[in-house]
Amino acid sequence: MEEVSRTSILILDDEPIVCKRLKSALEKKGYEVEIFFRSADAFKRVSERNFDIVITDLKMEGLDGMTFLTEVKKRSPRTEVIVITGFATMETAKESFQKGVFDFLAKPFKLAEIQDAVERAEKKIKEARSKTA
Amino acid sequence: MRILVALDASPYSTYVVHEVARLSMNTWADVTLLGVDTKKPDLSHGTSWLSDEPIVQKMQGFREEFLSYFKDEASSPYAKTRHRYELVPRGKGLWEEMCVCRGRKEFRVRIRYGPAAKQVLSEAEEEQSDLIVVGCNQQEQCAWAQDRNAPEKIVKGAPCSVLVVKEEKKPNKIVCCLDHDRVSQESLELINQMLTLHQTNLALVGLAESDHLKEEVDQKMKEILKYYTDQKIKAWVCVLDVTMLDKFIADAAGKGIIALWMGQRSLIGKFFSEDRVGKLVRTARSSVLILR
Repeated sequence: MEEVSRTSILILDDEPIVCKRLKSALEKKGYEVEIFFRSADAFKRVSERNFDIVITDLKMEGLDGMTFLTEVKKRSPRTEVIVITGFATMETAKESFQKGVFDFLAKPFKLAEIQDAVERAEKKIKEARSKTA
Repeated sequence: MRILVALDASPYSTYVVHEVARLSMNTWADVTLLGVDTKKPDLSHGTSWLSDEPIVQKMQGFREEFLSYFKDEASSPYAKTRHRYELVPRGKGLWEEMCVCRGRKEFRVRIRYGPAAKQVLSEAEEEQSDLIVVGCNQQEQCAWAQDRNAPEKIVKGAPCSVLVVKEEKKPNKIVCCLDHDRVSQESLELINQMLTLHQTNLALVGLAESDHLKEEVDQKMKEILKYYTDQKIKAWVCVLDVTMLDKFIADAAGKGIIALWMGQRSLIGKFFSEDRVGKLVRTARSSVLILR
């Protein structure tokens, strides 16, 4: 029997409360979720393996979210990136999409909103896979 | 973020549309412009004449005003780039497949008929809005044309945060009254977006019930202050005894946006009754943000 792998998600946000809330909600939906509060740790992890979906904050100490997502897309162009930010600006929204992010969500948002974004990203990934299969 | 914008035909609604457009340029929020008319139309002779109704024409004007902020279609979250066929209800038991165009983010214009506050609150509940934005005049009574107390009723009954927009000027600061350790993450996030929008300073006001609690409050407020200074936002803190809250808010209400956390476990909610919040909404000369 063919083993169906779960969609993998990395979440990076320096607010632990945000990471934990998202991890719990997305794991309930059957996703494989890893969370990181520090961008350096998340960066190390994406150097080790690719994730299907990356959810990242933008404004963080050290390596900022924009640099992080740029690196993620460079290493793994098929990874879909969803930006979540508490300090949204027109410039960061535009720059995010120029770098190929899948969606841009300003905080606060309801869990249903990010779940919907993740589902749409997952659908896109599966469609791309079926085309190349 | 989902923003519900409650509009009527008054001049202040035009400014509300501008304010929300600016916020949406930053946040790429899903936005619903909701017009409310108290008089239900007679649909027994079809719906084609509806486009001549003043509320419909007004909402079409608001739609154009809002979208004028997003002229560059290539980078607009609301440019209709995604076309697909969807089943749309066309009457009792009848559905029709129609080509629906959507943008990266939702932008809807809706009209409801009935009592203004009730209709706005129903829409916010059904759409799971994160923020309701409503305008009102700056006179003694914060009034809507067809339902005088609508803004006050919306503030009292809303399941989410509410921004009551009162004036067309850049605030020089945001004065934010928080409980020491109960404020919700969503409220802090909304303050962050408002600070980013207005590029202004933040005054954080912690509340204490008695002297011995002040140290604890002070500690928590220092943590919040560190969070904002780390974000390079100019902020300062003061701790206030709840007995001083009334006077403080009355003084602050004319100087910048005043933000009150009124969540379910809010200490402010305990000492600052709904009627006093209503009075603040009515009498404040500047915009008021009720956080939940």
